[in-house]
Amino acid sequence: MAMSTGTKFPRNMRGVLGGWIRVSHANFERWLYLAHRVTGLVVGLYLIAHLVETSDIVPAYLSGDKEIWTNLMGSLSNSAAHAGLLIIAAFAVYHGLNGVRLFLAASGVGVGRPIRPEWPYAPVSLRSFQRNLGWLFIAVTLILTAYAFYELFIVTHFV
Amino acid sequence: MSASEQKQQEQKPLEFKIPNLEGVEKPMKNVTFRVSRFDPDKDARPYYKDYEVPVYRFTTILDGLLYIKYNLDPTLAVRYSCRMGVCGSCAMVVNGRERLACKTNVLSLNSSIITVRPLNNLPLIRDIVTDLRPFLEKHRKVMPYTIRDDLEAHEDREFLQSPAELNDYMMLTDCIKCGLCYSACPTTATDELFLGPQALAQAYRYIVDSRDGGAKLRFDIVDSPHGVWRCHFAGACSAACPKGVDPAFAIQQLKKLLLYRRKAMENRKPAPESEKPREGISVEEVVKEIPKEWPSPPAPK
Amino acid sequence: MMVRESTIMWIQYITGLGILVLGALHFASLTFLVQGGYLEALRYKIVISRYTDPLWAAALEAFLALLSYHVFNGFRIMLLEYNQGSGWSKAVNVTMFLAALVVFLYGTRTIITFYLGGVA
Repeated sequence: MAMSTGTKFPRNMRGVLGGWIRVSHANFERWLYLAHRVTGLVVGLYLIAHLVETSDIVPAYLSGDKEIWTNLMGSLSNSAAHAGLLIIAAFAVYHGLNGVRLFLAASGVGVGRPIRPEWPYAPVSLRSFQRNLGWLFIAVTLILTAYAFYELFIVTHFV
Repeated sequence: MSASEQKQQEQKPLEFKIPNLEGVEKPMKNVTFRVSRFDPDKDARPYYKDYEVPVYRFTTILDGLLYIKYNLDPTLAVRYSCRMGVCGSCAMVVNGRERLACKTNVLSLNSSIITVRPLNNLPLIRDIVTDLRPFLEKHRKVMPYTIRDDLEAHEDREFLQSPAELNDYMMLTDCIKCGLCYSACPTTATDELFLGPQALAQAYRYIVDSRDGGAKLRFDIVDSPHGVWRCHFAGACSAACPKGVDPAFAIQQLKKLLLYRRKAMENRKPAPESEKPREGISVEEVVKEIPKEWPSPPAPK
Repeated sequence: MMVRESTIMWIQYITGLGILVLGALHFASLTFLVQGGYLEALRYKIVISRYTDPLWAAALEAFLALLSYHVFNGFRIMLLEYNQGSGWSKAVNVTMFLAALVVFLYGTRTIITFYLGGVA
């Protein structure tokens, strides 16, 4: 090669902001991928927070304070906490359903069959059943989030 | 000459009417090409430079860049070759999306500013030329050639493969190694060790080829912390591919093989050989002509 | 001892499916399975009955186990993609494994405490 061995070309990697998050003008599945990452991260961090929240009272409970649970729940019975829980529920449902779609795709379901490409060379996997599944699961997420809203806000205030 | 030939010579020339000449003989408008420039000897990082380019109806991005090179700025470095979408040299990022410059019509972008950037995630040599060596080395890593123990023993005859078996991987043979999929993939944006959609799709192409017996070797390469499993089916690779190769499809099928068919694929016997030897000159005759040693160059005077 | 990445991912998929089912159960136990909805479900009496009942406690423990694996493997995948280099990769693998273990044991302590010592 004619290039000198000492030449170090700039890496030109797009990174998280230019790579993972670059979804404008991108295909549908790339948006779903970004949402899967974000929801997974948020729900995962919530798991840790939730465990700490419910487990932190164990020493106090063991040393005799039986009211500690009721006090803790009282302090969390406000709209902001319920709204936060609603977001977590929506994120968890989306992540789970999209995860099912990804598992099906990794099992070869819904990605179509090999074709002989003809102009305009549209890829077969991006117009197969997995795309319909993506839309379906978004719809199901919205429906279940509406149900969670009902349980968390309507039932708690009006029943 | 006979009378009929004389009559043919007197025929009027064909009348050829083009219905719409707009943008064919004269440029339709001027468009700004915002090209990423970078000289490693002078610049610390890439910067954009604007050029006014007259655009006809059928002007492609590559035409625009060559216009800049010929008329406005000869220092612009551009990689191109066939200018008809089969070599893959002119792969670049235009207005935020990965495209082949020779196949992208400027007016179809519906924008008065065309932003031209080099391919993502590959080292930048100069302006919009990137170093494809990491991309090609990853392709080499998946052993993109037929592997079987009896390859040399059957040099003189073909291996039998049905049209259905061919169809399983034919789509993936259309890859022109342009690098657009590698640039579009969100995983390659942060993961330098990730094999990339092209290498993984070619790994699948050879594993599933009924003539090949190297499934175990390739499985061990792609079933690694930076192999197939770092693909999350964002599909950007298939969306960017100019040939409809659909690497995302290949990678999902490869995951399926790893999860459900690993043993079966590793134990699969490769396609049998044909009974008839190839017609024409025999392998022995060809091999006889090949010198055992290449002749050495003439000694310097 | 090298675990294949495909085995790790296979378990990731299976735990994901299990989490879907058990998560739905967890949500159900906090809303429509209880007379009076979410607010009633958080009363100490109801909560402790969940912890002291062997089936419910087992479900909670299984939920915790699946989540520990799935969540920290997910974090591991994102961190491995973010940076490479043998030092970083090794550190990520070890840290995520230990974190999963710690989280699982921490949650198990809570479940066992209330299972054994819960007072109605």
